[in-house]
Amino acid sequence: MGIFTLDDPILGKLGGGQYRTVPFRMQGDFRDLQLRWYQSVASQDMEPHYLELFMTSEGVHEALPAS
Amino acid sequence: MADKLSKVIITFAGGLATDFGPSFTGAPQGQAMQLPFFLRADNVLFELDGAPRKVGGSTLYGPRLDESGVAVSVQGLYDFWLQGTGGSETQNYITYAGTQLLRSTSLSGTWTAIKTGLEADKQPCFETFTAKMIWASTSTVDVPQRWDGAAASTSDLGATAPRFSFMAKHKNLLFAAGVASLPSRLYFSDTLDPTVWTGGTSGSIDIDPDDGDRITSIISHKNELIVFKGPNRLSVHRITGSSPTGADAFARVPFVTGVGGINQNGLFRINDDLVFPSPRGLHSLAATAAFGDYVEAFLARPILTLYQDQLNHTVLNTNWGANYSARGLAVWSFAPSGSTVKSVYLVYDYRFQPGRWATWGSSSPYVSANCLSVMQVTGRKHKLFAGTAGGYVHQLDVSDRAIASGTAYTGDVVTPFLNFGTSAIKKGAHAGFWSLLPKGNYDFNFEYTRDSNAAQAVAIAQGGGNTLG
Repeated sequence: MGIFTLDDPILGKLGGGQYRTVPFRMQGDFRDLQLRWYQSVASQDMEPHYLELFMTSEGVHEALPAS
Repeated sequence: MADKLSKVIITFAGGLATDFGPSFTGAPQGQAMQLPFFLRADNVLFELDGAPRKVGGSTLYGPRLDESGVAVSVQGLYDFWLQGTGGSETQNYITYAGTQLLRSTSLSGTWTAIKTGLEADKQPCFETFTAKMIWASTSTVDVPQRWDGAAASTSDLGATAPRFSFMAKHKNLLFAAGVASLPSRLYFSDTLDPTVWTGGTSGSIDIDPDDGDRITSIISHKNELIVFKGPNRLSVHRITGSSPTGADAFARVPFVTGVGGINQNGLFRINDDLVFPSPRGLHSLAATAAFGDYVEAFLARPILTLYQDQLNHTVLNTNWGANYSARGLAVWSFAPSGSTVKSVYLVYDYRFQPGRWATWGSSSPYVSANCLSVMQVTGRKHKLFAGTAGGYVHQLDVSDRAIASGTAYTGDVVTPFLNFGTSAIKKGAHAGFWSLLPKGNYDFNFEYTRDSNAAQAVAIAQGGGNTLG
C-alpha cells in the first residue's frame, strides 16, 4: 500500500510511489448509488485503489405512504 | 433535515460477477465496506488489494501475414525451443496462418514458410517431443507434420501416423486423438519415436466408442493422461499406468460424466490443476473431482449467464486458452453472440481465492484473439500473444495503454447499486475522495448514478493538485 500525504490543502503528492487522494464534490439525494470509472483515451492508464464517500442521512419519512 | 455527515470507505474485494444481481445491500462496517463484486470489469487487471487497473495495450509483432496480398487468419502460435547438445538452445516462433506453417527466429517479425499447401482455417495443435516440433490440425486432408528446427521444410510425421487432430506427450510416448473416422480412439506412438505408430510399444485405446461424443482434448497431468470427451454428453477419463503392457499397463478409468471438454486449445494447466471450457461453463479438474458437475463448483459460476447468453456457442470449440502465469491469469478468447470473431476474453485471476473474473474486449473492443499463446521475448520474459483473423500477431499487456501503439480502448468498471445498508433511508451525496496511484498528468472518468437519475460525471485528475471547492 502507498502512503497518504494529507498534510496539505492540496491533497496528495506525485512521485515516490505514493497514492494521490483526489477530492471531488457530489450532488443530489439518493437511496441507491451506482459507481463507474473508466479510462478510454489511448496511452492513458488508471489505477484507482479505493474510494471514500461522504454523505448525509436524510431520514425515511419521504418514503412512507400517508397514514 | 439532514443528519450529520457520515463517511464510508469502499475497497474492492471481488471480480466480475454477472449473476449476483444488480444491487449490493451490505452495510458499512466501521465506516468501511468491501465491495464483493463488479457488474462490469472490462479491459482491466486486478492489483492484489483488489483495485482494477486498465490492462496493458499491444504492440504488433511483424507485418500483416498475407498470401498473394490478402490477409490470412492466424490460427495458432507456438514457442518452439530446442536444447541441442552444444549447450546453446535455440528458439523459433511458429505460426499456422492461412495455408502455411511459418517460423521466425527473433522478434523482428520476419516469417519464413516451412510448410505450404495446408488447408486453411483449421484448429491446430503444437507439441515438442524428441527434438521435433509436431503439428496437427482438425483438417481431414492434412497429415501431421514434424520439424527439426533446421530443415527448410517440415516432413510428414510418419507413414504409419494416423491423421489425428491433437496430441500430447506422456510417459515418453506421443498420445493423439481426433481422427475423424475413429473419434473415440486414443492412439499412442512407439517409445520416444513419434514417427512410428505400428509395432513397438505403439497402440490404441478406445474410450467409450459410439457414446455420442468424440475425444476432444488430452493432457498429461499428475502421472496420468486425462482424456476429455464431448461436446454432447460430456465425460472425463483417466489413463493410468506407465506402459502398454506389463504389471503397470495402461488402463482406462472413468472419472466423471456430465462434465467434459470441447477442444484441445482451451485446456491448460494452472498451478496444480487443469482448467477447461465445456458447453456448460469453465471448469477446474480439481473442483470437478470434488464436486462432479455440481454447478456451485464451476470455475465460471459468477459469470455463467454471460457464458451462456453472451457467447456464440456454435463456435465455442474454436476457443483458445493460455496460462499467463506471469500475471497469474487464466485467459480464454471466445466469439460473442452474433459474431464468429473471438473478440471477448474471459480472464480468471487465480492469485485470489476464490479467483476473480474480468473481461477484455466485452464492453469495448480490445485486440481480437483468434488464437492465444504465451511465448518468451527478449529478456526471457513470458508474454501473452494473440493472433488475429486479419493476419496480425500482437504482443498483449504491454506498458502502453493503446492497441498496436495507437488505438484507444477503454478500461471500464461498474459497481452494483449500493444502498449502504438500506434503501429506505434517503442519503445526500456530499463529496468523495479517490485514492489512486497516479499514472500521468491526465484524468480518468468517474460517474455516479443516483437511483434512476442520469449519471453524473466527474473528471478525476491524476496529475497536479486540486483543492476541494
